[in-house]
Amino acid sequence: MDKFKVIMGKAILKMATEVPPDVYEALGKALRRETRETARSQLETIVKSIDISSKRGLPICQDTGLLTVFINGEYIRYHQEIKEALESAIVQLTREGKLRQNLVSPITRSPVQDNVGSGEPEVYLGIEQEDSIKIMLRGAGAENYTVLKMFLPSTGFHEINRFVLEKTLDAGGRICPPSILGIAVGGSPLGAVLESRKALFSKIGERSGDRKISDWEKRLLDALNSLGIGPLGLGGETSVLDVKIRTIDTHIAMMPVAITYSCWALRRIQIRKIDGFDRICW
Amino acid sequence: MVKSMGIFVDTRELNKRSKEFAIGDIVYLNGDLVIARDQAHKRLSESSSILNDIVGLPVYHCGPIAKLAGKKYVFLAAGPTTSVRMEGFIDAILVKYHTPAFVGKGGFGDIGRASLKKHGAFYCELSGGASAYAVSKIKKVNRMMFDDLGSAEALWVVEVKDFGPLLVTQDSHGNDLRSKLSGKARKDIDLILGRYGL
Repeated sequence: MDKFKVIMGKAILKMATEVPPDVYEALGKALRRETRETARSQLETIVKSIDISSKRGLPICQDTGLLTVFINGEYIRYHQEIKEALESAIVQLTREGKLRQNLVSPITRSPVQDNVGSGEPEVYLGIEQEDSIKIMLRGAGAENYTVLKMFLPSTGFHEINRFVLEKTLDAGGRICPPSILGIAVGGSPLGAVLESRKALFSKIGERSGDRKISDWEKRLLDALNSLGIGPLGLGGETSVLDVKIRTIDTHIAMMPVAITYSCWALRRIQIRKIDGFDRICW
Repeated sequence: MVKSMGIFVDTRELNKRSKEFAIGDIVYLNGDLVIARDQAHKRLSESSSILNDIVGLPVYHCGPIAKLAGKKYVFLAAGPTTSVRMEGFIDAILVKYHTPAFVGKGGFGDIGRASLKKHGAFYCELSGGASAYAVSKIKKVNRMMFDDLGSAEALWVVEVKDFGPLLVTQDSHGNDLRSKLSGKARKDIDLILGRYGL
């Protein structure tokens, strides 16, 4: 259906060339808070680059990633058309140089022309109980530090938090901090990774509805920012812009914990039905 | 020339001066700059021939988004990529090309750091992801080599103007700005967890 082709093209382009307003605001806040010269310089360059991108319609980062798409609710009926529309938008934007040729065959490493191939775009149906299409561009810098650990079921709260701090230190500057963390505790291995990624759709500063979890998020955010990693790992008070924690019921003998990191260039967008029209929104 | 807290240097002069740079220095590059990432590094280090054009020039770790405009390429995005992936290749490149400096993000590991020290080169960083900003500092795309690798993996020579601020994070004397930071944080993990009741 043509209407999906137009809207997918616009949505992916907007996502690749603008950062969500909540992320932009959080970066500005970080810049006002940082006193260390190297940290300030990194954040200033980032903000300048974002401004140039949106003014000139250039990609936020040259790693325009690969797509993860969640089609939910009434849009599921059109999933075939939406997938085709996504593919044609990806092909066109790749040819225009708005998306980098990123897709390769895993063994030969030879390019898969125009970024559409087996499993790409990666589309999931009915993951959320709402009418939406949610899209994320995932760059490899942060993606390479995605982690799933199957802990012992007896693992305590302290061990999970220690794990998050250690993994974030290991990632250091390589995930282009200040980063955003999606953390899922419980579920199945597959469910945990998926939930940790989906959590990154929640806006910066948006807290879990569960008071215990929101309190945990806040404390973990403060702890992570005490590590001193700083913007791009060069030291400072802003290592992480936000932490999203999701818990999922799990098996008596399991304790999966998954972390999905986003670099500061969090590229996410959604399409929702507003007043009867499909609208692109953050 | 030192101008407002930064060292502005011609890329052709870097070779003579690479040992002067120390961690914490801010550098701005002017002139020709080589762009290469994983596959180009592999090829440069393994090939028996020498590309004379790039001898003595700094190498920027980047996989740009390039577009043909008429007969010339322009870059639409050119931020730094993670340098540690290339560290196994840099020793051979330093020997063959007398590379004075690498520009990238994240720094090298032990292997790369040792190569820098051995050959008197340094490493500096542009803010990761600042790809439109980098584009605004690239004045001209002069050459594309290894075209068969595709534009992101190809080797490029570009002309830059005030390309920076680049922060020196690993110098030719074996110093590393980051190792000091992460060593301390790792020791403090339990203290931090305790402080926040975690």
